[in-house]
Formats: sequence, C-alpha cells, structure tokens
Amino acid sequence: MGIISVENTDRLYWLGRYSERVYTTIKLFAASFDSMIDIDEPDMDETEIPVPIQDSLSQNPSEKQRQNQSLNSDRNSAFPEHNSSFPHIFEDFCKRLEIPNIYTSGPDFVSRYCFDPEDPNSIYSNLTRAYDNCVVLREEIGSETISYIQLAMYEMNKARISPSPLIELQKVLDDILAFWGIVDDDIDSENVRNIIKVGKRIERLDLYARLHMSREEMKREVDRLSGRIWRTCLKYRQSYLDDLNALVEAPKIDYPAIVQKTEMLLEE
Amino acid sequence: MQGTDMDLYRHTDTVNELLARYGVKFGIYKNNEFKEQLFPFDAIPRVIEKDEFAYLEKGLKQRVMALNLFIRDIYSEKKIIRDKIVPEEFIYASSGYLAQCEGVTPPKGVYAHIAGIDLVQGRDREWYILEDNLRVPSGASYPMIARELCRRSSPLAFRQTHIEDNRNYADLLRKTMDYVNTGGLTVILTPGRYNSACFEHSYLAEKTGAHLVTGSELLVEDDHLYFIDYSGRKEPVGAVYRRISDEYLDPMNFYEGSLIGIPHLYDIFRKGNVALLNAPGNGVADDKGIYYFVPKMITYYLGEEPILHNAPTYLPLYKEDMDYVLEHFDDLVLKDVAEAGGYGVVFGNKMTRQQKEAFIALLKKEPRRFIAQEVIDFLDIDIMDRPQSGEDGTQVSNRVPRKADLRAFVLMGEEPMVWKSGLTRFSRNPDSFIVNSSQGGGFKDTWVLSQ
Repeated sequence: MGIISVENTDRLYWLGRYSERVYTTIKLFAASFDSMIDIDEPDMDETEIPVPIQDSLSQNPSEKQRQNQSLNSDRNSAFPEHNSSFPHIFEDFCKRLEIPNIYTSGPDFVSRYCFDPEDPNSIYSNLTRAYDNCVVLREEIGSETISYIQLAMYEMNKARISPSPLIELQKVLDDILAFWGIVDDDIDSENVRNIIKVGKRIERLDLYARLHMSREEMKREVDRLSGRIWRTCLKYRQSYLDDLNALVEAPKIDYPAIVQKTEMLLEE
Repeated sequence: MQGTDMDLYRHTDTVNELLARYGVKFGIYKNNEFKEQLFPFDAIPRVIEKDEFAYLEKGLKQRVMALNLFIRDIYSEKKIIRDKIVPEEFIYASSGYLAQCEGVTPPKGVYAHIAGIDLVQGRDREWYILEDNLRVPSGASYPMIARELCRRSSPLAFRQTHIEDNRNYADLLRKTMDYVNTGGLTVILTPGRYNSACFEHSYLAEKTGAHLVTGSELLVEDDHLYFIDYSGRKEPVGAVYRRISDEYLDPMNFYEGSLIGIPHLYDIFRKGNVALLNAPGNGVADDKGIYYFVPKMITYYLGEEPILHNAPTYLPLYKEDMDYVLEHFDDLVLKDVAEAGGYGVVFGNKMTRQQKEAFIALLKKEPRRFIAQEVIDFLDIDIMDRPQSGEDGTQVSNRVPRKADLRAFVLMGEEPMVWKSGLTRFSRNPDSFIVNSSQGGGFKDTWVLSQ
C-alpha cells in the first residue's frame, strides 16, 4: 500500500523484536531446562516439580550433567561458566539477560519465566506483546502471516499445562520460523518486510551481546543488520552502526558497549 | 441437502480450528478485564431460497431508504414531526438524537451507509424485523471468513449447491466508501486492539484495502483530514469508516473526555470535507422506541406499504398500549430502549412476583424508557450438538433446534445494495432467545441460493 503510519512502523518493528525475543529465549531456556533435569535442588517441594526434573534429581551434578555442561561450553552456550548448582542456572540466566531474578526455585523459574502472564519478562508476556502488535497489522501483513503468531499463542497455552513443556515450546519455535518464512513469501511491501526484519536483527544483536556470544556470531548479526537497515524507512544513527561494526572487530569485544549502541541505534 | 449437510458436519471442528487459527474472535470485558473469545461456528447453514431472499431484499432496501430519509428530515425540516407521524418527545428524548447534527448534510446525502437489520422468521414463515442498527453494526466479517474456510474444507458441498458468493462484501463496502469519498485515502477508524470487534475492523481493512487507523494517526488541519505517515508527511483522507461510537468521535464536538477521537473531525464533516460512515446522529433512527414508527415512515416518505413487518410492538407511553402491556405482561418481552447487545431485555413470564412488581413500578415511572413486544414464536433452526457415541461406538452428532436471528446488511452507495448473505446468530441454550455473541451465542453462515 506504500503509506505506513508512525504507529504501524512502530508495531512492525516491535513485532520483529518480540518474535525474535521469544524465539531466542525459548532456545536458551531449552538449554538450561535440559541442564536442570540432572541437578538436584535442596528443600524442593516435590509436588511443585515438573515431571522431567523430578525424575532426575540428584545432589551433585551427574556424569551426564558434566558432559552436557562441557558440550554446552563447546557450543558457545549462554551458560559457559555457570555454577552447576540448580539455583545458579536460573540466576545466571537472569543475570545475563538483565532481568530481575524473582524466581524462588527451579520449578518456579520454569513455570513463571516461561508461562506467567503477570511476569513482564516471561516468554509468555513477550509472545503476547508480539501478538498484540500483529493483530492490528492485518491490512499490512495479512491474515495468513498473522495466523502463525496466533498458532504460536495456542501452542504456548498448551505448553503451559504440559508436563513436557519443551515439546510444545518446540512447536512455538516452529510457528515463529514459519512466521519468518511467510513474512518473506507473502508480504509484498519491501519496506514492511524490512522493518520487521530490522526489529528481529536488533533484538538478536542485543540478546547475543548480553549473552556474550562469540565474535563470529556477533559479526554475523552486525553484518545482517547493516545490510538491512538502510532499506527501511526507519531513521537510524549511521555513526552508531559504524561503531557496532568496529566493536565486533576490536581485539576484545566490549559487550556492554554493543548493547548500548544497539539500543540507541534508532532515532526516536 | 442431506449429503451436503453431512459433508459440512464432518468438517465442523476443522472449520472451528481454522477460525481460531485466523484469530476470528471477539473481545469482552469481564470484571474490568479484557478477554478474547472464539465465536463458535455451526456448520449447518441457514438456507434462504432465491425468491424468498428477493422478497427480503426488496423489503430491506425499502426500509433503509426510509430510515435515511427520516434521519435527513429530523436534522433538517422535521416534517414528520410537524405532520404528527412521530411524536416530538420520541425524537428529543432519544439518546441517539444529537443536537450537533442539526442542519448538517453528509456527502451525497447518505446517513446510514452500512445498516445491520436484525430479523427473525416466525413459525408462520413470516419474517419480522426485530431491530435496525444504523450506527456501527458489526458482524459481516464472520460469515465472510467462515465461507472461505468452509469452501476449503467441504468443496463438495459447494459444488453441489448453487449459492450466492458472499465474499463480495468487501467489494460492496469499498464501493460504498468510494461513493462518498470526498477525495483522498479511505481509512477504517478503530478504537484499537482492545475493542470487542477488533478482528472485524482489521479483517475488513485487509479485504477492502483501506488503512486501519486509530485516532492518533489522523489529524485535522486547515479544514481537512490527514493521515500522517512515518516520515511526517500528511496524506489527505476522504472517507472514514469509523468503528467508534458518536460520542467518542470528536472531543471538540461530542464527549470532551474522548482520547480515541479526532479533534475537529465533525467540524470538517459539517463542511463536507470528509465522509463519515455512518454519519453521526443516526442513533435517533435506530432507537428501540423509534422502531415502532418505521412502518409509518415508509408510508410517509415513500408512499408505499411496508414490505417487511415489525414484531408487534407497544409503547407504554401511550395509555392504551400501557393498559395492554399490563394486561398481557406475561406474554410480552420488554426492552430497555437505551440498551443493546441483548442486555436490558426481560421476559414477563420469567420474572418472580416481586421482580414483576418492581418492574411495573419502573415502567409506570419511566414509560418512555421501554417498549414491549409480543414474543415471536421463532422458527427454530438446527444446530449440531456435541458428538455422542452411537451404539456401534461411532461418534454421532445430533441436530437440535435453537433460536436464531439474521442480521442482514444493507449498504447505501449510489443505490441500496443488500448483501446476499448475513450473520445468523443462534442461542446455544435451548431455553434462551438471546443470540448475542457477548452472551454465549454462536453463528452460522447464511446461504442465499442462486437458483
């Protein structure tokens, strides 16, 4: 249609950011959830424990756990150096993402971080924000595109009551991937497509910087953002983009500076 | 139709799942909390024969033309009052009458561009008008998308039956909006994400190619309306299909506390610089009290006999009607004229003695506030009940009769156009006459046969 309002530009951008936030944080959560399966948590009320965790409680990290940790480190995990006790897993998680650690136990973390609509940092809340942005964008992105975020909401609600939440959360990931696919395939306006994708790229760069991802990952994300942002109607600070390119090439990566530049890249 | 019905039955769950997938919902506020609900769809369509619909079409056009003439008259010459066809107090006491609209003629003289006329069919097969909705009638999007999905899931049913395609509603609406557009973009103005009909607003925007906007995206400047794009550029707007009610439309002319309206919008409408669909002030004609007079309006303005009939209605304001109402209280349904959405409707025979006494006292105190109607013996239509296990263990669905109404849509472009479909709403409760979605009702597609 060619003409986009400020409000819709904003909604498209945040649709991109929140859908990416859900995608990446589910993947991070899945890694930590897997780690928690093998670790015992003292004084845990067994009635609160989700089945996968309850099945594999032990006081000390098991051999399997150690192998997993090692594997995760090799994979440039979000928790490469974490303390192996149960609370530290979600403490590290919160610290890295700079969200308040309000969780009282592993099961509490699983339940609230993933599914609590009252927790503003939960994956559920972030998916709701993506949904809230997209339902009023029907004329810009189309019913078919919106349907994948809607499907992700349904799967999230199923995961909320599932004893195996990762299985349902995988479907949320599938829906978000399908959403990205249809954004490319179905949306005619290049500007609309690119605004969503810039939202996605900025969110990913922000998250990856907070998680101290590898140089290769950081460079790739800055490259992707640089190649996209100029193709949108978004107003951005070129000098900050130049800084981001320089920061990922520096001998020692200054991650907090990347977070700061990323957050301030777009003009108000 | 038996084979067709079976084909549709089989896919009912599929269609409901697809409706959920596409976010076909409506919102309601319960305890100050916004909740979205799916609108349950029943696959058995209401079927209207070609000839029968031709009769309805004629009657609906006649009615909506008369209503448009009535609104024009009320806000200008008021001949119908002077000629004592409609009592003055019914106009000025109506909450839908807006003094601000006096002397204002909308572009092309159209007031009710989109009219939702609620009808029921009695057991005598006669159609009765229950209500005229001339402000912001909603509901067309639901049968539109349901038809699309039913055609996907049950192609055989549609191959075997010759039905008017109802997916042209967007074309009719676009034609209606373009007809009155004063030059510029066409936008659909929504209160936003947390409105009960948000799905409909966004779906109609998608299908008509109009921009879906909120008040903050529009600006009145130099006597014209503009849409502000991301770069701050102002694009002129010529038509606003507004889905917010009159009082919130313009804080400078109506409710001053409105945060969702556009300041001075009504001023430029008054000057003919933008079309508002529907025009503000239409509420004077769809008031439940004014409903009583619509057949008289048809005769008065068009010189014709009304084709479609009202449900027999009594105005307690008139002594003889009050006497009748008190005498036949248990046989009547009483409606508060200020309420909508199935609220403010009470059945005489459902009240306790104490409730009845209290209600009659209120009726005597505020006779203008209520109308009374004969309870129409609806022609029930079948819906599919939940599947149950048959003797051989297979799932069997039962057809059960339920009360249902039909909302027909009439669009006023250069000439009136009746959408060859409609929203059939039904009560899921076997004992209830209330079909509104906000009170748990479901919906059906409405098939108008083309042969």
